Amino acid sequence: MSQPREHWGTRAGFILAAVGSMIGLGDIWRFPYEAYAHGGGAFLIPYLVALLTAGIPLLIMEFSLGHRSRGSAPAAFRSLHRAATPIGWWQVAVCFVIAIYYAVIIAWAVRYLGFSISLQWGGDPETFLFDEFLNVAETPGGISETNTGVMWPLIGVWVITLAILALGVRRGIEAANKIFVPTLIVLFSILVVRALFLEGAWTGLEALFRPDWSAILRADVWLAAYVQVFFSLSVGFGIMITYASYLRRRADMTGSALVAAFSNSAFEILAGIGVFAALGFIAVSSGVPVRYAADQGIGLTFVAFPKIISTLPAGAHLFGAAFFVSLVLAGLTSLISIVQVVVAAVQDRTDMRRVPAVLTVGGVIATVSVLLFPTDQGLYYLDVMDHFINQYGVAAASLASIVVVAWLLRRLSTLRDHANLTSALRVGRAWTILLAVVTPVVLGWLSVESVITELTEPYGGYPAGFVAALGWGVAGTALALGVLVSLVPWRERETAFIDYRREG
Amino acid sequence: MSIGGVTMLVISILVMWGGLAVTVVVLARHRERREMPVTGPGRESRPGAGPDVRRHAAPPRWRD
Repeated sequence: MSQPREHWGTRAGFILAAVGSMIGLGDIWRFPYEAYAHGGGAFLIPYLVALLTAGIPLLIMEFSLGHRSRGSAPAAFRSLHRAATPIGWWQVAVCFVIAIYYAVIIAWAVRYLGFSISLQWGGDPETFLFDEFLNVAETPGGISETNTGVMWPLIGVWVITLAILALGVRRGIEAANKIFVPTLIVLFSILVVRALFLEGAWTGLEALFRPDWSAILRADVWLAAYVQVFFSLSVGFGIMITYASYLRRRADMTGSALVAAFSNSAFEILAGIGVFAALGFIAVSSGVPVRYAADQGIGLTFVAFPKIISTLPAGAHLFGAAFFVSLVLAGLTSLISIVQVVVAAVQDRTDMRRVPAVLTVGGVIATVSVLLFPTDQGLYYLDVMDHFINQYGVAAASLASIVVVAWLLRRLSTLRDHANLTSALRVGRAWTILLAVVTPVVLGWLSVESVITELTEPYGGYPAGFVAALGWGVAGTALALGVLVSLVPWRERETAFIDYRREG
Repeated sequence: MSIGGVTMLVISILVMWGGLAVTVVVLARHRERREMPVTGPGRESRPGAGPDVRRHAAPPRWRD
């Protein structure tokens, strides 16, 4: 017997969950540097154009697809056409891969939260991170040592994530996001205010916001803006399709998409101000230009910020705690949404109840994560898998979904009508054109650029075999799994779109 | 800080946080309007003037 579909308790709960998914580690460690490296203040223009012409339209499409089909990603694509099902399973496989390494970064942040109490990284946070904490092997390939310092917090992260998911959409995901997202915004705001009062803060902000108008004429700047928008809005993962499938019938999809997207962008601006105010402080303290202090990713969060925290004149422990708790919260809300994509797909496919589905699916993901990443090879695995699954998983699946929906199945007008049926702000023909033309062109361009770069310059200077196995291998396996799982025969039932106007 | 830097800092905050605030206000007003009782000759006061999709409730049709 099929399980009744769960629902969000409130519209605010759904929006907070969507915002929680969007506000991830990338908002803090990626956006500020991308803006700084691509024209500073001038980056705002391509970013805003990308948000309005591709990010929000794609978000509305995913909301509409999920809401109309009331199913997970594979179910949603299957409801368009049976041949489109592999795209949904491809997104599920991509989420599986991302979940196994994303949790590890949260586990590092948990450990650094502890380290910040005694400033345990000492005077050289870089050596501490790579040699003492992660104990990274000299060369990639072949696990030789397990790192219990990462393993235990990682197990903790998985227990919390799966416990929240097991509680269900309303009592678990929604309730957690109602606590985590406001807490994250308040904590990060406190951090930003503190950073603004540091000596050199305005030097950092000048570096971030001083516009280089010539950058607007550069193609790579526009590509960077679109890439940032795609990745930070959680589109192309199946997350927004899954979350929208739990909406009640009277749901404002366009309005929710606008609120969620602007909330994410507003947080990114906040993060940019906080990060560069702090980087300005460390640059001025060290007597170097901001460009020597500016960094992104792991280098920013686990090397530059510990340096900043150690150098603070007062309140170092509180600043450190606020920063790493913010990271943990931003990561957890995103991780929950990523795992939920897999759980929902398995539930829809097997009709399994939530708790067994969470324990089975989550158990497998958590086991792989705990076996592979708290090791001396963990950082290498993470780096290569993250690069390839994003470039050839998320971006490629997005491109495939838009080409199939807009060009092969020509169902954009159906989705537009559905979005307009219950939404406050209606979308028109422009929305269809943006999705059918702008989005595939940009994603296609991104994919071609990535492949050319990959072929001319092997990623990260890693051995070819290592990149082939963990990069191309994992990304290719995700695609192959998507196709294979969709080939398993389904017990046929009605899978057509639900036309709210004809029902009743 | 340069004039260009300050301007872009202010514009960034205004566009993103302002955009969010405007969207939230517009949606809240729309929702209020939708939930206002609709009265008139021959019409009963009822909560919700928008399309009543709730009565079309049906069990999920997708699931194998």
